[in-house]
Amino acid sequence: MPQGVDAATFRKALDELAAIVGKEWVFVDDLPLSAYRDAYSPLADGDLLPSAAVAPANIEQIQQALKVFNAYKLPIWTFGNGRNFAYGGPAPRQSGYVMFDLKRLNRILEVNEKYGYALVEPGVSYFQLHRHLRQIGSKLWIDPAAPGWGGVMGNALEHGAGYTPYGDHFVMQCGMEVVLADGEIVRTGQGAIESSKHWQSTKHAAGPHFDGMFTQSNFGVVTKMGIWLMPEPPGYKPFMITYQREEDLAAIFDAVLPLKINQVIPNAAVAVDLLWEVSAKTTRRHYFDGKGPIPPSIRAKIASDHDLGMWNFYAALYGPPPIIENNWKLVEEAMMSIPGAKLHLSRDNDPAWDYRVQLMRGEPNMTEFSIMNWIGGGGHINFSPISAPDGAEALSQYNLIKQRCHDFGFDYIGEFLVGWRDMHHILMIMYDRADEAMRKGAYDLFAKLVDEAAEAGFGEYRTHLAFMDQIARTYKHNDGALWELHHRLKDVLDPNGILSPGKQGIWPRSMRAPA
Amino acid sequence: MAWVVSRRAVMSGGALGAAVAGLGIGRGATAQANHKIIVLEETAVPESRLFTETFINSGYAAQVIRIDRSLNGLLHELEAIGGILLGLTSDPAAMIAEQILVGSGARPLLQWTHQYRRMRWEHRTEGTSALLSRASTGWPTVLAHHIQDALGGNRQDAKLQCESGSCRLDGKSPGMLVSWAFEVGEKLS
Repeated sequence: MPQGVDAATFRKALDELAAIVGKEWVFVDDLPLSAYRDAYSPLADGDLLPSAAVAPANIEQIQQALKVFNAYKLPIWTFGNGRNFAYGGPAPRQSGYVMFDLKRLNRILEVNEKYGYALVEPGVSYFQLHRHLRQIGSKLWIDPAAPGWGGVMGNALEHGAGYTPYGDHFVMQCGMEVVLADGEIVRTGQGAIESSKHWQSTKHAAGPHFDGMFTQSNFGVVTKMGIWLMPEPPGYKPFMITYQREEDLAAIFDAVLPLKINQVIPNAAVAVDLLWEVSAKTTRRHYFDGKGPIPPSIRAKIASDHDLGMWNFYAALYGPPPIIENNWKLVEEAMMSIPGAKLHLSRDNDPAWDYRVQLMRGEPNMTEFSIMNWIGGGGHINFSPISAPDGAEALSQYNLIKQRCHDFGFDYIGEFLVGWRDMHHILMIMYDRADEAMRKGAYDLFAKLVDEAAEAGFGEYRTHLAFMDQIARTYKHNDGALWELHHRLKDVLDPNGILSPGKQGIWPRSMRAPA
Repeated sequence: MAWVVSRRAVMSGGALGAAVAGLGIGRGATAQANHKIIVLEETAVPESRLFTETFINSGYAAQVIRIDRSLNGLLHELEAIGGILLGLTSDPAAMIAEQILVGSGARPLLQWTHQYRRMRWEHRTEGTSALLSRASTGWPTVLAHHIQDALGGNRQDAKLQCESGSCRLDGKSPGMLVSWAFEVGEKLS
């Protein structure tokens, strides 16, 4: 049950919602609601469960449902598509929320071949958009997140990333339609001009730029979003370079930075650690049956057996072949100058290479889930600090986090992605969900890393539900003025506090702890 | 067929299952009699191949869906099927199948785990210990026969944990597997 709502009132609200969306689209039984749990949560099963789910079919039903939620002050948790595993899955922030499931809004409203964009609804997945583009003969690529069942809109709203040159999904977003908590519909940017045909072509308009306010937030329900799509290039050259030593990380990023800033390497270049890379091909138990981190001698054997490095750097070049070959000379000169570097332009029978090559050319796939075989039992949670792509800083961050992983008995399994001027560090803490001690260890490790990273000046770009409040508290400049601003906006835009309370640590007044 | 799913049952599903604990094939009816049996084989996993082969050889499998280790086939192949879909697969494949199938209204019938530890396979199942503990590398065959019996209504509900005989882990095996079954779509009688 939602907090503070009695059974009779809740039943009445559900009846009203059923009259709006249809009885078959209001879910209260355990089985359909189980689809909204976080299958990989570091929390105990049952900690975050919805009380019901409501799936509207269109904007009008969203507006009418919001009236009911407001009338009964029912907290809802909006969900579009995809699963958001490692960051809390589709589960709500607290038990008892009503899932507001937008999967029925799954239309691709427009594909513009000339300007290279699509306008989509919340339920559109990467696979769906990719299939649609191929069916209509489009020469546009998508940029999928690693699991292709993810939602185009949801991932961009969560500041997710992909692996083509269009990999920063929120940067590639252009134009939104948002339903506010009171049911009012707002279009951002040029979408506010009634006759505009350029809503998805330009982000700029008169007045403040609001789109970002509706990402990683709970200020409105986004119902349409434009996303820029990359024209298929005339040439594509993926590559992997392996590096033998862990400390090569510093040299890798010092070499990468000018190539990225000058757009010689246009896509999200990624340095993948040995265990992440090998986990698509084998499992830990084939090499080490003991507790604690894998010893260096066994790591060396794994690297040798699979022809991998301690770091495995993936990137690609795109464009006309003469330009690719010209830029390749720059890449080769910089990246191969590190002692022990080994270049791979193809790999036989290597699923990790295959899925990354697919991702870098915009082909959605599901292969990255196979890395969950590494431990078995499926649990994983991503700790994701973000910083500048500086070699010394990357190495220092790696050493700090690796040491903490080892202190808690975990292997370091991670990767560093470089955008234009940012570096996402993704630590994947893997655990067997059936092993309570391991699961608790993963939770405790994560909590410690949040505070230690903040002390060192690193904040997370995205996080699991269980840590949203803790991470919000690390943004404490001027007595937490930024989150105070979020709360002031929340109170104005959603006075009843119905929209995703607690999302990213933003709570409505009625649910905030007294100052 | 009447299915009673309680919140308590859902929550006791343990590490892997969302909504299967307390449910079972054949409870109150013979599930197999009215359903087409579709077996999902994860071809890169040797135990999955052996499990599927047993279903084929015993004439139970009306259809076999094979997916490679990219796991991509799961999304496409599960779109338009009806009957009882089952498999012995890696944990990620089982999770993806569960997400897709439950999301489209399928009913979970069983979800058991099989984990290789200290030179043996450890099984968490219902009603199979005597058979499985006598097996070693051939345990997927034993498991397949047990599930066939359960589909026919011959079932014991007691939760059991047992270990098969000592054996090496195949180099291609992930070492953590899930056997699972869902009732999907309309009945094909």
